Amino acid sequence: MLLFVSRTSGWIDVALTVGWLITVVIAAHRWMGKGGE
Amino acid sequence: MSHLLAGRAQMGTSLEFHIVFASLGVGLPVLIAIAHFLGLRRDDQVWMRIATRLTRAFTVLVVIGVISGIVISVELTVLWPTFVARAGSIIGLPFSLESYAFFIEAIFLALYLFARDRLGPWLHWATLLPVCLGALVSAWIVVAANAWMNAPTGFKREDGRFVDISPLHAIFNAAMPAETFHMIAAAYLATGFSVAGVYALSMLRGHCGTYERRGLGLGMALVAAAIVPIGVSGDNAGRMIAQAQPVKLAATEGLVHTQRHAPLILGGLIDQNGNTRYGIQIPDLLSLLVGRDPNTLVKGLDSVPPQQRPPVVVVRNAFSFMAAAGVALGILAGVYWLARWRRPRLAEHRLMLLAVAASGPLAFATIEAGWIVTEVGRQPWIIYHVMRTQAAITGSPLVGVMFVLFSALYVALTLITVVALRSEMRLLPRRTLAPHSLTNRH
Repeated sequence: MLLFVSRTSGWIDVALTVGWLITVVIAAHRWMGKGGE
Repeated sequence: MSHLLAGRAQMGTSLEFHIVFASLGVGLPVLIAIAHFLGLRRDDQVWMRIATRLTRAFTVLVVIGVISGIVISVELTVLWPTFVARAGSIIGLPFSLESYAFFIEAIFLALYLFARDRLGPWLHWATLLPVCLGALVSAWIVVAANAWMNAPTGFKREDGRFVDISPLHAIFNAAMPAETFHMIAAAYLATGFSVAGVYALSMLRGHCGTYERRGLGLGMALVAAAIVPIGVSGDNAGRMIAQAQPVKLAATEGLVHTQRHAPLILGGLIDQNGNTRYGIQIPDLLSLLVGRDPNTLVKGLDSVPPQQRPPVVVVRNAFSFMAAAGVALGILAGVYWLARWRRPRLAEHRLMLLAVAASGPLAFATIEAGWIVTEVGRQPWIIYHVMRTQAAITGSPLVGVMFVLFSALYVALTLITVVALRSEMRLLPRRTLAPHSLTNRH
């Protein structure tokens, strides 16, 4: 999917999206570590 | 109402109804999987309770979604027989693949619901993964078929017939990446806001326990994940439309004349000729957005004769609503997480909870507006620059009657959904639920 997105959007958009998702996952992991409240 | 308008209205009503269930069908299994994972990993009954309640809601929504999906597949053949006869050999493959994806989703959902006692806890959880994947692939491939109608490829035309057909080229058309990416991100976003909204409502009614706080946070976490992808894909979709369907872009932006240094017009009142009154013009911005260069040539409505333009007023207003609501939802998500990070009490302020509660319906209204832009913006074509909608519709005189009957069906289905959801939730009290009771009612 990302490969096809990259075909029209460019790698910067792909990198931005993937980078953002990793950031959210890390933040969510830290949030869960605090009890998820 | 004209014959054609009745047919389009019926198809539009069906799609607008179905997209709500389809979107929730994509997003909810992800939230269930996360909540169930945390419940197992931390041996936490609150997370399990959230997973259980979401599963109950998801099951009801899947049933209604299947009914409305079947109605759409029947309508495609009944309302648009010429379209199906000509294009069936091209978009038949994605629709068939969608069926397989749905079967995978349905089979593993059944395993998740009914095989808990026969599977280990983690294997039981793992049955959710094909559900998530099946829903995702299903959404991707159906939207890819729609994208083909916007940017048809993978065939040659010979005496009005389609020959040398390549279904794979058709699926991987130019509009597919941006359109599928945008819709899937929207489905996750709307589901996140809806789930968060339900828990926000509960908190507004005075239930402010761990259960509600986590439910609210879970929904808003999915929103956070989807918010940047939807912005990126929206930008891509705009640039794709500028290339593949320039008249649609001209209608969405209210651009009358083909020009370089095209301005972006915010708000205002537009007429069918594309003239906007009271709008705020930002010089060069549309050219900049489309081509990353203010000197980019952007085609206006005057690039085609008036009879080849879509209903500009509808398209422009739907697009303006979608863009404004999308920005508002993005700001809400940003403010919520900023508050949660820096001022946790502000994240539970009554006004914040009210805004989150309203965000679910608003997110779905935004999706509906987006589909109006996609479908109405392609008119008068059912397959862009290949087949006119007028040429595809059935000759049956009963289209108007069918529109009324199907509209009544959707009203009935909406009522059934509300009653079924309320009934399911009543059977599953918030406080007294035994964990892991996915199939046992007591």
